[in-house]
Amino acid sequence: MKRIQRESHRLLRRLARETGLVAAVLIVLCLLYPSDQAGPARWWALVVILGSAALLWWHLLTGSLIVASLAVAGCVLVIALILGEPPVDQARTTAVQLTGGLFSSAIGFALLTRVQVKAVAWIGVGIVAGVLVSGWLRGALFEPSAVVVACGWASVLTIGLGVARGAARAASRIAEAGRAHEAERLASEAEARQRQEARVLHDTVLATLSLLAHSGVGVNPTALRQQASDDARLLRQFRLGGRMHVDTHVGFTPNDETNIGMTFESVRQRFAGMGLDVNWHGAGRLTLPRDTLDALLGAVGECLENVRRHSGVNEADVTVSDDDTMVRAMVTDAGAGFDSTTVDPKRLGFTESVVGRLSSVGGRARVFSTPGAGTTVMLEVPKP
Amino acid sequence: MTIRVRPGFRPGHERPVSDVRDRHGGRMIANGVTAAAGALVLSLFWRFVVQLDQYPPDRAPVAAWIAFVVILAVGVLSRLLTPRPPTWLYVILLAALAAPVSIDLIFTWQLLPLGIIPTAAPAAGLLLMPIVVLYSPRPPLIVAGVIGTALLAHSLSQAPTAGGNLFAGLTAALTAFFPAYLCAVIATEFVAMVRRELDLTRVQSTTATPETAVGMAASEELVRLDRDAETLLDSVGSGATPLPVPAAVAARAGEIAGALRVRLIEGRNDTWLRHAVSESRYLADRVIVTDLAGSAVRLNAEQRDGLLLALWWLSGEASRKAIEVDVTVGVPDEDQLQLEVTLVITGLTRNRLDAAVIDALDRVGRFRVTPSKAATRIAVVAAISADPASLRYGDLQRSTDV
Repeated sequence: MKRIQRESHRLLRRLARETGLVAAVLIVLCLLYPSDQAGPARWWALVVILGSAALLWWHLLTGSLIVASLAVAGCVLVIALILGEPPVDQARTTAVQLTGGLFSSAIGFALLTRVQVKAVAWIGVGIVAGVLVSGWLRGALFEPSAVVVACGWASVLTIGLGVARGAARAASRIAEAGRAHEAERLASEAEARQRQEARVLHDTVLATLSLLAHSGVGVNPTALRQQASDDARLLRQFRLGGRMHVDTHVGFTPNDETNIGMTFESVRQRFAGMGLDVNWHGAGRLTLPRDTLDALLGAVGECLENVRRHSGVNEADVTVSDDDTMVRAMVTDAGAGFDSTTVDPKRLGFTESVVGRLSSVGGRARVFSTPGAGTTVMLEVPKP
Repeated sequence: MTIRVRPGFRPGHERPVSDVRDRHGGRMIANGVTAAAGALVLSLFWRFVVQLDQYPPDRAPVAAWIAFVVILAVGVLSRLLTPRPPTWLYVILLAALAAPVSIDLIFTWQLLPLGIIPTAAPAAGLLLMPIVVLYSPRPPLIVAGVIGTALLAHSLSQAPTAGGNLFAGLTAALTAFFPAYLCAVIATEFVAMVRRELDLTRVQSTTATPETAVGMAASEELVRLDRDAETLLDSVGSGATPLPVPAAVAARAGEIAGALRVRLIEGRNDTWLRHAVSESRYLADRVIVTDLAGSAVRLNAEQRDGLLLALWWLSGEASRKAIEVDVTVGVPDEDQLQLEVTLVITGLTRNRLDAAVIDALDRVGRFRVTPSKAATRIAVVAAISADPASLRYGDLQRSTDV
């Protein structure tokens, strides 16, 4: 069952509960009204209507159709009992109208959650017929209360139908809105993800901002200005909706395969601007698919950033080599190093920035370090 | 660390909610309610016709019914001519209802002992049924309350002489108010229902997001931060800001860098579950997610949907007391391939869980419910599949040990 249908049933049950309660109270008052004409039948009617109210309550809790049928039968019995004992005074006429038009229609609300509208309509027809037959049995050609009862049932049915159809329409409209939203989310998530990845991969905004947060002390001012304006240009490109890959700063070409030497050179220049000399050894004209290259370059950048921050030296070596299946980049420094058995790799931001990135293209990373003897990080990505 | 997720909304998403009444099936309900009001008005009119030969001379409230029909005609015409009639017209029509009501009450005054009840006055109350659904429920409901009270007073003041006819008078008073009240219940509940449903549908799309995602609220903040960073870097790059930079700029740079780092690095562990909760106005206030390892990612689409639905049903439990659900996603057990999700629910009105919650939890995995007075605790054990990423991480750990 659709959720919204379930909720609309909850609404119908509430309508049934409140209508039934109000009707039962009024009917009981009508029947209790003293009358010298009325015989014992009204006491039976009182018992039956209370029983019917209890059955309606039970039905609302359990949804049992048998219980509901008994409650409907109770209504018909109440009407027959009252109309079958003429003369029927005003209070009892009102009781008949309330039983047929209000109380039994409360059962109608409840039944709409369990059976088809058509079936409920037939129950209404049956009750109207019950009123007419009871009147006819006591000699009236047409029992006027039947009109009130019929109108009461008609309004329950149209309201019930309105709620059911409204819920169905709402469900389909909401599904539409949901699909539209899902598409929007996917697009927006994709854009955000692309932006996020592009940011982490290529740009140095975070690093530059961190330098500025320390007032830029100890960094060559010209290099810092150059860096800042490069970063600003990159951000502007993002903002203006330019494709993130078309990036003059890092020197990517929009082709699927890219000259690795050129891009390594741009990484080297970037770190040179920040005071770390990167010596680059190895293959000059490797070509790799762009996402693999992005991952490898990003990882190299992260490793160099670690060197710059933690090693205490201002020189690092990057050695690139390849065989038939793999491209390897080895980032080596002769700095402080660390004890790889005691330092959690997570603390170095490794899982996030290096391992995660490489594993997304099927590559991996290994760290070798000893305190005082520098650090070597081996980065591997598969060849296409 | 427990993060209380707060609601974050894009204004664009509010659009479908605002016209809940018309577009999302509200019109169907309005049609049904209008037809129901028509049926009830007809029964009152029939009563009026039947009573015609019982009215004492010159006491038949024909004028009241004429006034009623005029108001009805103006109302229907205005609705046909403009999709949304102006508020002043609506106010005038509501005020004009005083005419049929007062004429009817004056004409039928002291006639209750004869079994004659007001008919046009309760009909005026019924006229409010579609208005309750089509516009806002409260003002017409108040008018219906006033009409009902007037009819009630009218009947009760005749009680000493009316005898058993009093009940017919009371029923007339009820007819003026109760249907409008039911319509108000329908209108408010239906709008609430559609809103909730829309909200759920919106956040349900998070279950389809792959692994970790930035979330819609976060991506907007990222855009804003980028803009700030761009301005700052530009001013440094162009030389507008001297080097070394002044303390204020340095502080600002640190601030932006910190926020960006959160978004770009730390935010990477935010999963669909966190986004679903933070983007839903129903869940955001009631659900607290604790998922340090971001393990919610490991649930498959079916399990995610089940968990989200369970949370949604739980926080939708009709409650005067505030419900709060604490969701803790454990660390995956890679040997047993299991993930335990614990829900601690406080403020549940009854101990029995709704069948819908049970259905939803069944889709997540095996679960055990521990009810107690303070809080109900549900432990769900979900089956997961092996994580390829964790194997690589294991590789890394092994080589660091070399």
